[in-house]
Amino acid sequence: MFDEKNLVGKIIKGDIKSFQVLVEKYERLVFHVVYRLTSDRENSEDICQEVFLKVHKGLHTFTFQSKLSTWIARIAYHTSINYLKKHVKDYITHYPNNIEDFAGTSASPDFILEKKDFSKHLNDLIDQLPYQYRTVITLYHLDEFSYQEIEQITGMPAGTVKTNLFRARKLLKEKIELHLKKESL
Amino acid sequence: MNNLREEYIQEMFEKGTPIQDTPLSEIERECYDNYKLLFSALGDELPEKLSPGFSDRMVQIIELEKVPKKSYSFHFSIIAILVLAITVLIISTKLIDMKYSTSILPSIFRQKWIALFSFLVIYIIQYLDKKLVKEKIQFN
Repeated sequence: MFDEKNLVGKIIKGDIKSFQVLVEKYERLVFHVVYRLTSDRENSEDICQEVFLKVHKGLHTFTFQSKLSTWIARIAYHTSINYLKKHVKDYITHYPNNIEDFAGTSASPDFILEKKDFSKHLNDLIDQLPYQYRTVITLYHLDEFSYQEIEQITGMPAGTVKTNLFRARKLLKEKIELHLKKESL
Repeated sequence: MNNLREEYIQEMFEKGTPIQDTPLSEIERECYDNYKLLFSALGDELPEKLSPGFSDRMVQIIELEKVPKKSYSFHFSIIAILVLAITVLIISTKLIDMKYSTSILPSIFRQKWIALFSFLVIYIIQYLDKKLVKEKIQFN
């Protein structure tokens, strides 16, 4: 079994091999958060490096009051938000009430119909969601965090996490409905 | 379909409740099927990934980060030796001045800004050399 305490202790003592084990275990999680939030493949790797540097520097402050994965995801989340603040204008998009209101609906039907791979199409749709929705969708479905853990990572109250998750899924479902209707025409 | 009903359907998927136990209208059934498609795809792995060898590169970066920490003590000892040497030089010059009634020290102090400026220039050249040239060589 993966022993977090033992691993963290070794890293704090300067064992670089243990740090490599930690990176290998959590690089998938960090990449999910960074890539889904920034939608920037070119710079995602640099941001992931920044996250793991922060993890390495701050590991002695980790008190095991949460899971290590939650703590690392929180660093990845805040680093990505800082990146968005610095590099993306108007990164805070408004919460849409329905599918017609959110950016991305400008994609032509032809573009949508060309997408053969549903999973890829869904990822494109997720990229068009407001960042709060992208965050909860990624953390809940891809990395399987609970509402409480997402609250610890993002600072959003658990109720808001639940609402955002519901609205994000509803938007995506409506988009899928549109997609399926257009395909059946 | 109202939000409460959709919330209920989403919760069914979250909890893994079987659909057979719940009566659904035709619209709700269609909604359920679309959510089924969505929930199964949301957990799919992203097509994009970090490039191979990411953890190796991270280890290299961390090891490079450690280098300046090691050299801090070296820099401090150099500074301490320099300060000590300058102090010894000033004291001995002062003693010579007192013994032989020369005025070497006052002459040096009159030129002190040249000496300080030279030290500053040398330090800046060293710093720029380290930052712009040596680090580039290390990363390439």
